[in-house]
Order: sequence, then C-alpha cells, then structure tokens
Amino acid sequence: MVILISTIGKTITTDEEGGAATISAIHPDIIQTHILTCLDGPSLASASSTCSQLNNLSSNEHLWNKICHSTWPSTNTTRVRHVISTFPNTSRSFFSDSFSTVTANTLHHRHHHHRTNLETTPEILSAVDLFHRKRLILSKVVETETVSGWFRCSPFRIDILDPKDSVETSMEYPRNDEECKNLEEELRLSWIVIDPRGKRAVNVSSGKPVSVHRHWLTGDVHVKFATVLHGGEKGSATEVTVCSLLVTLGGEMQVREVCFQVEDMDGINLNGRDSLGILQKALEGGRKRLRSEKEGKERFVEFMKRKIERKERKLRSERRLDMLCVGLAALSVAAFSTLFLS
Amino acid sequence: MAQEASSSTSSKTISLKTGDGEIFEIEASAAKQMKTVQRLIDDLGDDITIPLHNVFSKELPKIIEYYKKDITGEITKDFEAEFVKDLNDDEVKVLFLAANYLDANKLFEFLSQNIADRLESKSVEYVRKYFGVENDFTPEEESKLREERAWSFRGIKEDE
Repeated sequence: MVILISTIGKTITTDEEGGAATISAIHPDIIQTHILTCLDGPSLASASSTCSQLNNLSSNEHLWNKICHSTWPSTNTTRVRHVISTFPNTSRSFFSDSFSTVTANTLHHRHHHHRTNLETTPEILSAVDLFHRKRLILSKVVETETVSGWFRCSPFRIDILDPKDSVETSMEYPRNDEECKNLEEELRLSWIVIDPRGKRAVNVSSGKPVSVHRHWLTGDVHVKFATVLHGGEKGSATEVTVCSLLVTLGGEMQVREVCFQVEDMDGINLNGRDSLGILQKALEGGRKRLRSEKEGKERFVEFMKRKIERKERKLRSERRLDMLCVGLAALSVAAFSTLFLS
Repeated sequence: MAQEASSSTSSKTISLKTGDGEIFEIEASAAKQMKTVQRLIDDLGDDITIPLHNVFSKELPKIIEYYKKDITGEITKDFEAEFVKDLNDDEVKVLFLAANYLDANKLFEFLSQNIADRLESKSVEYVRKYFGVENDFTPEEESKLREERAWSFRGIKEDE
C-alpha cells in the first residue's frame, strides 16, 4: 500500500542520501509570512539584497508597512498613511528616510547658496512618538503650514500639545542626578518631519536624549533631544545648526510640552523661513545610521563646545576692537591737546 | 486526570522512526500537535511505528522535548530562551525545517522568530548562505542595491 503524504502549501525536496533540505526549498510564501515578517528594517533590507527571489518577496508593501507602523505608531493615521503611499517606493522609502539620522555635512550641496524655496514645501507634517522603557507614552501627528507671513517671520516652533493639554505617564520623578541619567537611558523620541509635496521624510530626533535635567525653580523635568546639522555658510552663525526637541514634564511626570525649534551657533532660534531652508536641506541629504547610541549626544556636546568657542572668539575680537577704539580715542585726545597747547 | 478510559489518545505513546533508523517515543497528545504525524497515524493506525524520512535522530529529541512541555502548558519565554540558547544558527535551521516537515505549528512559529532574531545584524553574504540562495544580481544591480541600503549601515564602515 502506498501512503501519500499530503503537504498542502509546502514543498519539500529531499536529498537522496537523506541530508537536510535547504530553506530555499520551502515555499516562498512561508518564508515571507514567517521569517521576513519578523525581521527588522535593516535586516529586511539585507535579505532583499541576497537574490532576486528574496528581493521580490522583501519588496512586499505589507512588510514595510508593518515595520513602519510598529516602529512609529504615529504613522498609522489616515493622513500619514496616505502621504506615505505617494512616496516613490511607498513604505520602504519612508522607512529608509526616517530610520537613520541625517549625515553630518549633509548640507553641502551642488547648489552652495541654497535659497529657501518656499513654494516647494507649503506644508510639513510632524509624526512624533515618545517611548519610555520601550513602551509608547505619546503618539501624535501635527500639520504645519509654511506659507503664511506669520510662519515665515516668527521664530520657528512646532508644539505637539496644546498649552492646556498634558499626557499622564507612570514615570517616577527623578530625585537626583543619577535618576536623571537613568531617564536618559529609558526615554526615546522619534520626530519625523514629512514633506508631503516633496515626498520625503527626515527624523530630526537624536533617538536618545542629549540631556535630562530638572529646572531649578519650577522642578519641571526638561528632556532635550537634538540633531546637529552642518554645512551652512562658513563663519556665519548658521554654519552649524541644531534641531532641538524639548520634552517638558511636570511634577507628576505628566508630559506638558513637546516642541521643536531650530537654533544657530549664537543660540538664536531661527525664524520660520530659515528653519524651513534648513529642513529642506536635511530632507534632501543622505542618511546614515549612528555608529552607536551615544553618538547623538556626542555630536550635541561638540556643538555646544563650538558654540562656546565661537562666543569666546567674538568676545576676544570685541575686546580687541574696544582696545583699538580706546587707543584711537587717546591718540586723538593727545593730538588735539598738543595742537591746542603748542 | 492523567488517565481517561474513554479517550483513546490521552495516555498512549506513539513510536516514531527517524530517517536514520532510530526510534523515539512520544505521547499521543503531543503527536497530535504535529499534523504530519497525526495524518500518518490516521492512515497507518497508532500501533505501528511511524516512519519520518526527513527527520533525524539529532533533531527529533529536541522537538519531542518542546512538545512534552507544550502539552503540560509549561512553555514560557524563559523555557524558549533556554531551548535555543546553546543551538548554533545551523542547528536552529535544521529544527526549523523539521518543524516545517512535521507541520508542527507552534514550534515553527517560535523558530521563525528566533531565526529572524539571529539574522538581525548579519551581513548579506551570511543571509545568502543561510537561506541557501545564489546571488543572481549583476555587479551593477548589486552596487545599486548597496547604495539603496546605505541608510542601514552603521557608521562609516559599511557592514559587509
């Protein structure tokens, strides 16, 4: 009696000598629905580069969609989903745009004097997700128009929460510096700026905070995330700028405020027009993963150092100028008096 | 509660014979979890030693160990972590293929996740070898793919 083993949906090839079959023998659907769905973004990208069959399987929109939504829950809203679907490679290109940070020196472009092209970005979306110990505590999408004079001339600032709103969390208030340091390890923020018309996105957050400290007077906890962007006009205050994201928590560790501003080396918050220019350059720039989790903070610390150096240089040159003026004044007084007296 | 006279499968053991001729015992309720084995039992009866041509004595005991724990409802994250801790990537692959052949769903799902975790920071070449696939891209296609993947490389040195 011949017994047929039914293997619906699964093909198995067996080696004559009884050796094990290879994974390639397993039905592609199985590979896709079981292994590929469990991979994270970079691994899926690697898998897609192995051979053309896996490339086809890995390009499945559904896979990348799932990865985007699980990495950034805020992208699961109607508007964002719609915008992502217009991207050149839909979810996959959105993921590759938003996963890594902008490379340093990204702003060095073919067009050295990039003028903010206000027409190309009439609106930007911000998809923000805040995590504590890998659990989501806040997720929101905000739309910001960029065409009005109000936006262009006032200091650039995007707030995720309304002034009266706050989001409760179960975090404990940090009572000393060590607990602040712990919070640095436990908090993660993702702030993705999406350009619906240009069909590009960029993550302006450093992932991990660059600083956590308690305000001396109010007791609020200020958590700062920052991405440093190089490549502005050399010698100017905007040679290096920083996308600064501040999360403010009140005494009960409720999230009071989450805001985004762009600062230059003089500590001045850029206006809407200039900030938009910076963002446009960042959107067009390359992307690279941070070497380590600490790199975001290291870059920020370096930025602060350069800020101080710049300030000192300015002070020195001002002092020199002062000395020169005093010298000239003394000289002219002396010359004047000799003229009179002689 | 262990012995139920009315149910014919609760305390019975089934004999399984591997492709390399060794015989292992498994409880009938555990065998039920492996659909291929159950089908064979339905066709051949539960008194005969069930032949499993594609599973070998190296992997079957591990599979039996997993399902022994499963029928007592003791599978925890700790158990699963311990289960794969000392296995290398190839051993997990062999178990995965065996679970596929046996149509053992729970183990198959668990091993899929484990394989995905293991492949997480491996190079493209490693993943290729693991899946047993040939690189069928032209050099131009390969460099284009590498460029498209640039966002996933850590630091300056590309991981390859």
